[in-house]
Amino acid sequence: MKRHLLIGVFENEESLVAATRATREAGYPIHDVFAPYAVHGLDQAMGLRPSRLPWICLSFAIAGLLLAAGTEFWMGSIDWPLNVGGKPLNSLPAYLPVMFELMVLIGGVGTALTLFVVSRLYPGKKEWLPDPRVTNGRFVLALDAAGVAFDADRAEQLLHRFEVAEVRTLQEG
Amino acid sequence: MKQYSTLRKPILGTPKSFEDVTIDIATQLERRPAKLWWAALACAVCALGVGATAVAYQLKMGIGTWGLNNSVGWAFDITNFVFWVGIGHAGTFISAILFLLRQPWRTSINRSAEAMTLIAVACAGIFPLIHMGRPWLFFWATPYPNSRGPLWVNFRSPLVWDCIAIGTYFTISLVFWYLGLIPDLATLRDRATSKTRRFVYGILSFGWNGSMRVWHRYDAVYLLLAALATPLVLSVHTIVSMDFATSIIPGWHSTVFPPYFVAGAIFSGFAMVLTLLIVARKIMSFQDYITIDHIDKMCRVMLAAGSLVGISYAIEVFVAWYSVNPYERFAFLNRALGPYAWAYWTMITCNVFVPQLLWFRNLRRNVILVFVVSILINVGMWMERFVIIVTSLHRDFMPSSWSMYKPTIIEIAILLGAFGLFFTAFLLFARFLPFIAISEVKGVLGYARRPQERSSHKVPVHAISEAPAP
Amino acid sequence: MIPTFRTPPALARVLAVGMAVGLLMLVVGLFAAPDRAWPNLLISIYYLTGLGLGAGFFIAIQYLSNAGWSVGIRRIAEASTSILPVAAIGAVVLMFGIHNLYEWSHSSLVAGDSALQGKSVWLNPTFFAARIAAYFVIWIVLSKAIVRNSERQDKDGDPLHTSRNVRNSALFVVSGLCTSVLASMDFLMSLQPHWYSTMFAFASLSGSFLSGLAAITVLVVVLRRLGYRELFRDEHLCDLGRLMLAFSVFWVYLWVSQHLLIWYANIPEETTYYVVRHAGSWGTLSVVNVLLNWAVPFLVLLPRASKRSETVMAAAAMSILVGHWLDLFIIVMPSKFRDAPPLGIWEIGAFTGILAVFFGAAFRSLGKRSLVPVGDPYLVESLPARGH
Repeated sequence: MKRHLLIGVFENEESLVAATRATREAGYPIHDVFAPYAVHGLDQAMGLRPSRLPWICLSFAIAGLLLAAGTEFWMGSIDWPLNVGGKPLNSLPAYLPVMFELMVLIGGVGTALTLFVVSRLYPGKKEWLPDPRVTNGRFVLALDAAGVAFDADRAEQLLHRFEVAEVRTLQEG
Repeated sequence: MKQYSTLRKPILGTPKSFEDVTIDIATQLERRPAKLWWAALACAVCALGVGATAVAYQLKMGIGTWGLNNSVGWAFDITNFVFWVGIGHAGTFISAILFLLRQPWRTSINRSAEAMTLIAVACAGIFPLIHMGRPWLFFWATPYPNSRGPLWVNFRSPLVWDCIAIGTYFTISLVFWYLGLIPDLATLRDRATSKTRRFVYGILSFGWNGSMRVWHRYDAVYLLLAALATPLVLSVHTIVSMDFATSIIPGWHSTVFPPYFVAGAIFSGFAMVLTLLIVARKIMSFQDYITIDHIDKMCRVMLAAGSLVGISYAIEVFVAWYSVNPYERFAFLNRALGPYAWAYWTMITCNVFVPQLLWFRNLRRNVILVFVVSILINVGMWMERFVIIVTSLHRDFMPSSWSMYKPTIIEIAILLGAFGLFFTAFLLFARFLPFIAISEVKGVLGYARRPQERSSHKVPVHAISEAPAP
Repeated sequence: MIPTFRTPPALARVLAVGMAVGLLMLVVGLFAAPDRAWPNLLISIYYLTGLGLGAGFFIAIQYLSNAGWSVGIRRIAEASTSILPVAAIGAVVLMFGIHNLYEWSHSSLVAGDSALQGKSVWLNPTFFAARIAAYFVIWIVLSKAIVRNSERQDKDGDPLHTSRNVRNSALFVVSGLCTSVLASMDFLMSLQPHWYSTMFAFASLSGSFLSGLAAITVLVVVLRRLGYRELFRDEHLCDLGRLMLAFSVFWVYLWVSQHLLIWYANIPEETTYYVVRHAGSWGTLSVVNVLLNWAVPFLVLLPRASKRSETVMAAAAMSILVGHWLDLFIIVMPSKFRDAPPLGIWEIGAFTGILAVFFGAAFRSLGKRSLVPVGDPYLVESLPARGH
């Protein structure tokens, strides 16, 4: 589906953050903002909720911990209860290192993969750029211009209060 | 707006715009390699070739080509293994721990240090692998359903912990490093002029377009990975140390080993980072990015880690005396006065005495001196592992089983090969991937710059709070 | 302007009662139950020293890393170090109990024990007392030097005081680390003079540092409750929460490592330590110890929101403060009471006393100078951001 966007190109993060906050407070629907680096405070300006990924990470980590504990106890104490060096079959201290490692491994890899899935990032994906310079030195604020109530002229005026370098319309494709 | 103390200095040596940063870092990859780079690569590949030949010979003939014997069953290979794993720890320290501690200067050095981590861990992995004698059966060290029972691996063995720890460490470091690379690969893709570059960077950059909705999640994941990598880096060298400390050999069985090995790893890793970066910043003209202040700060971290190592040495010697255990006491006397005293005193000189120079600010800011110190620490930390491993084994409880160990030419060639692999991979990294994290450096350009300074350099600042609310 | 701090009378009364209870229990205990009172005094002194040194290390690390975030709460850490002279006085009293505490102080016992003879150069009453005196002199002189420079800076705002304090901090960290390593071996490890562990010093110091952070956190929360939220902000609380979380994990890491290595190697000389401590009621207490010092603070502090809640942060800090006392109790007491932990009025009285003494000293010190180091060049980074 193609979307009509009104985009404002900015040259510095301060104007971008201020403009983003102002347009959101004025009720314009923000499609997205594009920046060459993670701009501090922009997420609040856009009104993004804190990410739920920490909970995903915690779930993966606990899963990894349980998987390791289960594997170790089942393999080492139940399925093949081998006496090694007189250690008890229920060797919790000796099982801790692997439990910790798998917790980190599955927690970390699971979180990264979740990021790629929810953000639809994958090798070979064709990029869509609102402006070829957003990965270099420009910032773009993209407003959703498709709505009936969207007043492009007033939105443009608003953007001009924040030192926008250019304003134009665009179709997301 | 965030306020900075008047004592703070900006991260980069000279003020730069976003475009300057992109150009400075990207042109290093876009121009043809210099003659010096080819010469360095040729040397590294030769060393790698020597090592590969030695490994091939060893695989054909067996472990008997090494100088091991019944008493000293572990020596050169495990020394190298611990040495390389330790080197890797600085990368994770810079990328994860300094990130959690919100140290903005890490942005200039984290990319190359993380690359060094990956390469060093790969070099480390070779040694246990070839010590297996039949490395093609490496998967026997992992628990998989098999037709031998199934017979599972012994999860109570530190060697199995080690295998899983190193695997985890490599994987998480790779994910962390690649995650950081994606925005920079997109930057390279969008300024690529040749079709091949566009295509390759296009595939590798995962369709990244700088969307803030993605950045928002990306930041969360970066923080989570840093929070996971921090205890991970401690755990890895802890587990490496347990390869020794779970035994009952005097000199190996010491409860202080875990934190002491971790401190040693960060110490040696920072030494290697300094060795590499002092050369790279000169050759790649990154003096504005990796400034004298960066070198100063890295020296301070190295000094702190080195002091912990020094205190651990002292604790070990003191407790050996305090224990009144004749075997413990002998192990440490034998280190200092026995046939390997030369290695012990090299270690003490390089790891304890030499770093004391770093207490002085003007010496920390003397690049040549720091380079020499960093190399000496590398040597000292290699010796430390050699001393711990070989001197503890060659004379243990029974004088009848005492013996001496000397590396053969094959073992030395394999170590040379590991250095060859390390430098080959690092040189390739420096040519094909951004050596400095472009997007992260852009994020700290405003750090501690005064507003008037900023406006004169294309990054204008305006009194945002005064803008009328619409 | 920064208001001067006055301990509210109600709080002062509570602290005075606590101190009186503690002192009374100590004096009565020394005569009525010396076998419990001396170890309790040892625990108390080590505990208080740990709180003071933990704060000292905190200040020194902040100076050495040129940290800005923590400048606003530095006065609180500085106030914590004022407990060190009090602990030193306690240590003087402790010297009279040496024979009650330390096996190696009896020359008749040493004469029949070749291992103790081998250590008698180090473990003898004279040298022991001299060492303890030296440790306290070093700690007090260096921490006072740092605090005094910081105080002077209030008047002239000269950044030179900061660079002087960076130097003092380097001295403090190096000499403080060496001396506290030895102090933990002297005070605690030599209670069982045949037993040794190279990790012991680091494990015990990490506990002291953690409890030092917890004490600073409690002070921050109390001051916020007294109306100083403008100075001691949510961000400070949040960062202290992160530090407590990190060092709580670090403490358990060292605890597990030491335990794992001794358990694994299974050498009789070493396992004796854990055999006593992991059996019966001592075993239960060892589990509670790990819960209080690690599990509770870790789980409680993990969610982001909890690090900004005064109640949750105070709860986590109290868990650590109680846990650290229990940790010392488990280290000290089993050398005398092998079978069952002696937990009763003497112990509760001592713990009440040390908390009251610590907070009394800290609040008194806070009242003596400005609540934030107004002359520090990094203070601006610790204050609320302007603009938004």
